[in-house]
Amino acid sequence: MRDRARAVSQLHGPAGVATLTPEELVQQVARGDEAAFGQLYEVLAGPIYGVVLRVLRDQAQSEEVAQEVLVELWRTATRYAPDKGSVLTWALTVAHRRAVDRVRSAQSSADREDRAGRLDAGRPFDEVSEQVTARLEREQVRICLKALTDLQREAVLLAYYRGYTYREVAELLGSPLGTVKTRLRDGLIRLRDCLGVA
Amino acid sequence: MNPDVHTLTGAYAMNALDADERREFERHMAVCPDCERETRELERTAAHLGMAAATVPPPGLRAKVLAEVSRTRQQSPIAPALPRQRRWAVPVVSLVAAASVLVAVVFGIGVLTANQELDRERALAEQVTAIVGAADARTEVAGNGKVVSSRLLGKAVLLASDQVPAPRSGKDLQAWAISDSGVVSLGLMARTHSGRHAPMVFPTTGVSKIGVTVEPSGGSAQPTTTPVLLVPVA
Repeated sequence: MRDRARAVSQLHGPAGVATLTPEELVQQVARGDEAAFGQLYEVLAGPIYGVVLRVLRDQAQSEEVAQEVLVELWRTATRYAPDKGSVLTWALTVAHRRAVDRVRSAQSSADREDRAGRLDAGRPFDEVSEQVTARLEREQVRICLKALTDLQREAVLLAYYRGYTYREVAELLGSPLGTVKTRLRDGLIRLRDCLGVA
Repeated sequence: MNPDVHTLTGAYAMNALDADERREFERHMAVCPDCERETRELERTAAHLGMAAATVPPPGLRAKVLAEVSRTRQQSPIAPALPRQRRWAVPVVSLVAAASVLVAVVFGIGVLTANQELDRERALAEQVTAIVGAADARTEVAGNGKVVSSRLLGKAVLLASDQVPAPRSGKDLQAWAISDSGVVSLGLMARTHSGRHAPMVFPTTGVSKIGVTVEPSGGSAQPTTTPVLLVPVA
């Protein structure tokens, strides 16, 4: 992940930015270093904005939420715990959670059901694949998603990229709750093994 | 909570639980190091899905974020340790007084009971007094539980207040020592002759938290319910 973070920062940020790892930058940010936060922004803004946009599918709202997330990372850098995961994992976990909170609060359940009704269970994978733009990550994730069963893949994509709860996913896919719970877990485990996540 | 709470690791890592289930799972994770390990791995995995969606942010975002950052205060780091002088400056007299009050409160006075039981409670009371009176005694309170620990003695005592309901018939309260290497049963919580939760003395080696769960009578090999008490060990 760390190497990828560097790679992404080189893709999106000015040259030479990635001389420090995100972890080293966060240590400086935790001491109130705004310049270090500027560098961290180059590493994290693309992934954060990307995941928020994927869930919310609205540019103005996504910009707002991405801003909230980045400011939250600044505020809480003092409490970043390296043993719980890399900076990139931390940032994306916060970003995804905020996006999901927003999508759940913003839309009435009727809206969501309507949206769900339009979703053809077979389609999310293709749709996601087409929209994915981070080249480095995209190819690997694409390959590994193909290794999942259809139900695992659909459940994972609906939950992660659409922000549905597993109950909603179960309704959408017409599968029992217990099955969806299990598929989310074993689907992610298969992804983990395929991606070589330690 | 039913045992298949473990299968929620995937849903949790993808934020696919509703708020109540999320909190419940977090409480469970606190007493289930295996669940926590798996959840962290799956969060890292989910982050790859997020990375795959990375895209160029809007050009105005950077300036807005940096402007807000420059007027936003950062949080203080978590749980600052008590200042050294405060920890050490507590008069010994007050500790001893606190210990005797505690022992009196915990055990009740003037109730006749079998000598053997009293002896056992006295022996326990001596251990509790030693821990509470130790020069390096430190107290952590969480909810209705309190843990007083002494690293010098290598011992700590768990105290459950009366607010922790007595287990219904067919159930027991079981205490657990939680460390990096896993969860180990400390045994069932006893009752004093006056009907309170008896203090439980345990070794502190490596223990980061103490949890108490309601288990079927006789106890379980591993916690099967959400803890009613979860107290850090200083």
